[in-house]
Amino acid sequence: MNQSPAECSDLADGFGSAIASRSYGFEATHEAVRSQSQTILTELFNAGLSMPDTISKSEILLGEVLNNIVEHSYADTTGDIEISWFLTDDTIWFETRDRGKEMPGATLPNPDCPPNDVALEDMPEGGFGWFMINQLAQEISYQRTDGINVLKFAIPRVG
Amino acid sequence: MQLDAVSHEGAMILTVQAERIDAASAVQLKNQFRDATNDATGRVIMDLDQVKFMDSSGLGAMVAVLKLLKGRKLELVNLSPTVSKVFALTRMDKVFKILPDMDEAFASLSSDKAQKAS
Repeated sequence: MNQSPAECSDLADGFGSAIASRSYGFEATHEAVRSQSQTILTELFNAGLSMPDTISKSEILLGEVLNNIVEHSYADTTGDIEISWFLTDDTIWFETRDRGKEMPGATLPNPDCPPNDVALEDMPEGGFGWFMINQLAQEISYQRTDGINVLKFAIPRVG
Repeated sequence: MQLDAVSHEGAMILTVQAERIDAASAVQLKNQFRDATNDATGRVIMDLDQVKFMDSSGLGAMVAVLKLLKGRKLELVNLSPTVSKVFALTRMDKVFKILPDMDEAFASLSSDKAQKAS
């Protein structure tokens, strides 16, 4: 796992000044997502992010977004994920980059909530990930440029 | 991840020995749950006290293990704030019986027993 000091470029241009920011690169595996998420949460906490609800949302979002890259973007290949965060007084900004497959339809998934009122055997065992991302994140954007998927999202610092 | 099983007053209590139920451990949970509950007939109570985090894959595994019980009850106890948030956001808190702690679970076991005895 390579970690380098932040060069957060244009991640939060125009969104106020950073209290702290960092970038990382790591191999796209479920195990690496686990340890990288823990590292990011620890560093956000050290940078002053102490609200339990915001930490909780960040942890859920990091898991969903990064595991989606492992499972879908790099479904048939392996590769690296880059992630940056940028903390301001009122918001945490995240940006992920990967060189896997393009998002289907080159657009952000926006599924309905999986049903919870169907027969037991028909209960959904998937489809929760993007639903939660859309519920928890703000300012979500997706761009594919020069073979690179760039996903950005924000979490307000409240609660 | 490991699932410890003990019997208590006709119910099976499964304690999840892991801090996370996520994409990396969802399959293990399903396999261990299947092995542990194969011969069980009564209520199944899952103690999630050690589980601080669950992702959508972990939640999918929880729905999968509920199906293994074919209509028998699965009660979840000691959910962390993050785990509670995942169940609430996806409305899966309506599909499982969620109890605040083991005292509540034991109390309802005792009342089950009293009803059977009367």
